Amino acid sequence: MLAFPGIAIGVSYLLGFWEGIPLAKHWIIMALALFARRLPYFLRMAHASYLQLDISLEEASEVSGAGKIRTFFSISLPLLVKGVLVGVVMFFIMAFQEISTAIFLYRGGWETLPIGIYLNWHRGMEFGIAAAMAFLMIVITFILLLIISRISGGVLKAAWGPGGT
Amino acid sequence: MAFIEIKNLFKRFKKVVAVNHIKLEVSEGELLTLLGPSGCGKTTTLRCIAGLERPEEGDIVIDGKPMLSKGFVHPSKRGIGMVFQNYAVWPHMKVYKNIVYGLKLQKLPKQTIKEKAKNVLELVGLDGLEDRYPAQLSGGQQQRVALARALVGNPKVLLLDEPLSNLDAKLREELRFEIKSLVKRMGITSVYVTHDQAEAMVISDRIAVMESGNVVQIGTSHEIYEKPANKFVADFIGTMNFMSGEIVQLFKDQDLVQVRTKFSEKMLCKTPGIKVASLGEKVYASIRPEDVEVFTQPPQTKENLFKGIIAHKAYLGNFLYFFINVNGNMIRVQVPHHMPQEEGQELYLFLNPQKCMILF
Ligand SMILES: Nc1ncnc2c1ncn2[C@@H]1O[C@H](COP(=O)(O)OP(=O)(O)OP(=O)(O)O)[C@@H](O)[C@H]1O
Ligand SMILES: [Mg+2]
Repeated sequence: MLAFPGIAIGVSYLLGFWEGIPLAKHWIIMALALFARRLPYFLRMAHASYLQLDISLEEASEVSGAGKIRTFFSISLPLLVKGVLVGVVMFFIMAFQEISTAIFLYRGGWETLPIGIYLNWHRGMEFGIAAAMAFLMIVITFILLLIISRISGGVLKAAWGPGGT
Repeated sequence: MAFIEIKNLFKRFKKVVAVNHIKLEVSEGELLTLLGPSGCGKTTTLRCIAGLERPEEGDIVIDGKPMLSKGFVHPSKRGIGMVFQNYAVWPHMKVYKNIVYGLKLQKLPKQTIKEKAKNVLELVGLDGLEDRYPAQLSGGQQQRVALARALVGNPKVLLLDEPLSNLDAKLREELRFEIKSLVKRMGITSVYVTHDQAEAMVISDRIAVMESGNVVQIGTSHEIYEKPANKFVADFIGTMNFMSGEIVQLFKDQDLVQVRTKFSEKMLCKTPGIKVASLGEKVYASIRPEDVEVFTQPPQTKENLFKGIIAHKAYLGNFLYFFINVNGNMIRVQVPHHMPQEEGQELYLFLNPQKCMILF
């Protein structure tokens, strides 16, 4: 799924949901396609945070008298929550910036921001509006990144290197 | 009967044999150490006892109950306390929660839990820190949390995997004694894993020396140091000079053998069980550096007397090591720190036959 091009997902959702289940005529198709497009990335991230979990933390729980289920809920899950939350926000950022899938699915009234930028720039020659939208996108992304850094403590620093803010 | 019996335990990871049919017994209240170099199977053995590893063959009996042969007993049902090498304290729980986790699972009354936690916190010297998160503690304090957590439920067996290896030398030495006296006071049967021979000698009732999945010798610190079973053990525990050679004569009535080595044609070595040695056998005549006697003038003895030149002098504070060149072979000698001799000077070495042993 990770190697699946966004365009392919966009086209296939459009064609697949055109007749039979005509979801492609409702804005919900956009949410579904973007969700499907970025879900694997989210799972990857959640899995990575699971792999980082030190197995001896779970073993210590078992030796202390806990079964597998108890260990999952008392130890593994709470330790995973951070990673999963960060994953959720990253997931949203990526879906929100997605254009290759969205471009096949949008209809008047439910364009996403990147498509708005594209339309204003390319078709309308409304550079001012496009720039304003791009700025809005940057601001929203920045706020989401701030939330991530709050959750995980220092992701921004890690991403921007020492000396960054 | 032994409290823990390890019978014919065999565990491998794919092609790597980690534990090779070992047999071990730990008596009630005893502290047994598994000692050996990295990768010899200490951790794997310990994890098999805990039930965190499933061996291919053999059985482990704890307090009369088989853990494997009558169906696998889950770690949570073995009545074990375990201290992991990396502490493994739960970072999202405060010290108090870490410690009472197991007690809560036992559904003990609240008051009992409180009392037990209070006692164990005092025991390991953590009182006052129960509201801290592990990240707010030093390494030594985290290790105490791990120890408290392992002890609080009064386990039948305590397992410790290199519990001090992440601490600095000073603290390590301090905690060694603390752990020993704690475990002894509580009378818990314990298995302690380390690759630090000094730690093993201080802490253990008995030591099991392991080499590539096998137990090569079991005994008290004293027995293992004085009567190492083979060259590997002698080399691993303490320091030993080895002079390879072959047995040329047996003096059965005196428990002595004569070995021909590169150092000399005739070297007498004590061999208590002389039966094990036979003529022509390849052996190592061996002596500890502190057992070599040093003279500036030739002494009366003629046996096992060598002349050599000091090649290197190493100052270790409370004593000196002389590396002495004897006919082109090097022998290490431990002498008092005030010996004035310098490199290049001549010395006479007496290798007392009673202190020389033959090893295989
Ligand atoms: N989970 C595993 N998968 C594959 N091989 C393993 C695994 N655990 C241990 N081994 C191998 O089994 C052998 C014994 O490992 P073990 O961890 O018991 O050694 P050790 O004596 O505890 O060493 P150390 O002092 O380095 O901790 C080693 O060769 C090791 O590489
Ligand atoms: Mg180990």
